Amino acid sequence: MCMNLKTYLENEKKKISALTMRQVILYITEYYWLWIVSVFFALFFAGYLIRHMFFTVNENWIYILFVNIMTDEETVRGMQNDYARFTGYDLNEKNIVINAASYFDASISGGTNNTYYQVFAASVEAGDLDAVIMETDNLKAVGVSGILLDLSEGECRDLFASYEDLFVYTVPYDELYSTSAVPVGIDISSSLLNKKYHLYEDGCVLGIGSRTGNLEAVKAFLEFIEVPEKGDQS
Amino acid sequence: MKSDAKRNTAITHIVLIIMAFIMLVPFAWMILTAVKTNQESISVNPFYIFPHDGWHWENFATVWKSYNFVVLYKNTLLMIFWRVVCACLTATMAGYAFGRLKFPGKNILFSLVLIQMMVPGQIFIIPQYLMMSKMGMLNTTFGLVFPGLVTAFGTYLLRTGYQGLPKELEEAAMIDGCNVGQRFLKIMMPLTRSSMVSLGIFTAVFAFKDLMWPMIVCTNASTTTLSAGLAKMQGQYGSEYPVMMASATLAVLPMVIIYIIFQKQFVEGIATSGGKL
Repeated sequence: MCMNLKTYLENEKKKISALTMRQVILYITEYYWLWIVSVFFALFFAGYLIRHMFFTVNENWIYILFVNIMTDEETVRGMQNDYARFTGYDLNEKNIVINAASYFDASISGGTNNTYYQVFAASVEAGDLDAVIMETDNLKAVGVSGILLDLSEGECRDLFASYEDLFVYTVPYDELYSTSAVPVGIDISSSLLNKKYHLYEDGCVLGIGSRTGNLEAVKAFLEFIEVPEKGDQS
Repeated sequence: MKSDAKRNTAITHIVLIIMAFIMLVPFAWMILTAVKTNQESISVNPFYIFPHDGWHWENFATVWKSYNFVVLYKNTLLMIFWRVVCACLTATMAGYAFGRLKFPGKNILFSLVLIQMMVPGQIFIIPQYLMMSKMGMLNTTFGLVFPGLVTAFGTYLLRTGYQGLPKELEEAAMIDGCNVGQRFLKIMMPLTRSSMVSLGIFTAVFAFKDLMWPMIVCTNASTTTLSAGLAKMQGQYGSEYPVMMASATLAVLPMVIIYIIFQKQFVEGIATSGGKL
């Protein structure tokens, strides 16, 4: 194979040695255009991948999903900036993602048979979605599948200490997981989300994605929206 | 006899006109609603088909100003272009290999391709999303194109195309000294042009209609596509039907233009593949 290539190259060299420069260029473009295009494309693609993989901000400080709200881009952007200012997170280092385009209602029959719910489930499964905010009944229905974090377990224990009175419980489908109600959400109806941003007039609950890696940022978000802690609640 | 034929033709035409009318009503409703006031759009009065209170073209201006449609068009067209290129490129090579070459495990490998066609696409969403997320390719054009890099349907379609070509053509090329690459590139591939056009059309239409994947990989407004952008507008203008319909009208424009340009190929494509869009 190696010999063949060598012989081939020698033959090609012999061929072009008898040609003028213009003829050489014509010969190469005529017979090797596909190789030339392929090499350029491969180089361009490699450069593109390297730039995005190593020189672009890809990670998130936090990814929050708001379900069933009607709001404009500016309100969302405003909240994003306010939260960044509150926490001091550097947006050049990581992103703060607030997604307000999701519409499903797990509390009604067939309410999750849509793309928005699939997007939500995929983001949680992938570990990208950190927190989700929706109506109480909706969250309770979502929580039965085990897709939301049990707030009484592991690293959530301090949440339990601070917000126990605001916890929303649901009984999971999976009896091996639990046969009694587990806390899957925190009632944040009296937070800034309603007082300042007017997002959920009938109240709302925050749940945490079962595979989140940014629990501290979620806790910071609860502080940012001024959810009253135990003792402050009246 | 002649009058029977005339009557049959008339009945056929009437049925076709009714069906065409049924298909056109949603489009007409969309365009007419886009130029109405909100009050008119939610009126149940059946005589409010046309706007009574003047034609409100400003609905288009409202949408155009609040969303960067140029970016949405650019992202959508880029996604369609690269998906079509990648699908045609990979499917034609795989189709040639499965249709014309002999190699061990060919049937098993092709069965794997067929299995992929039989599984709902949603199953691949999470692994694909994870791959994009770990590669740091979320919110990029590559992220949008990724699920369309290879296509099981395209491989199947092109394999059928290559199998339908006479083997004498390839044998003649072999006698003339062509190697396998030359036979593929210079003899066989140009003859499957119609199958590739069909695949390109199918890929373009499916890419344009794809909502779920762009919504997952593009959380950033500057990288999203028309379909996902429209879904986001629902949150902002959910109860303002004229504005929503104006954005829907703007969103279908590229596909209508593409259809007008490639009308012949669309019809040929459907006839070749026997599928529906």
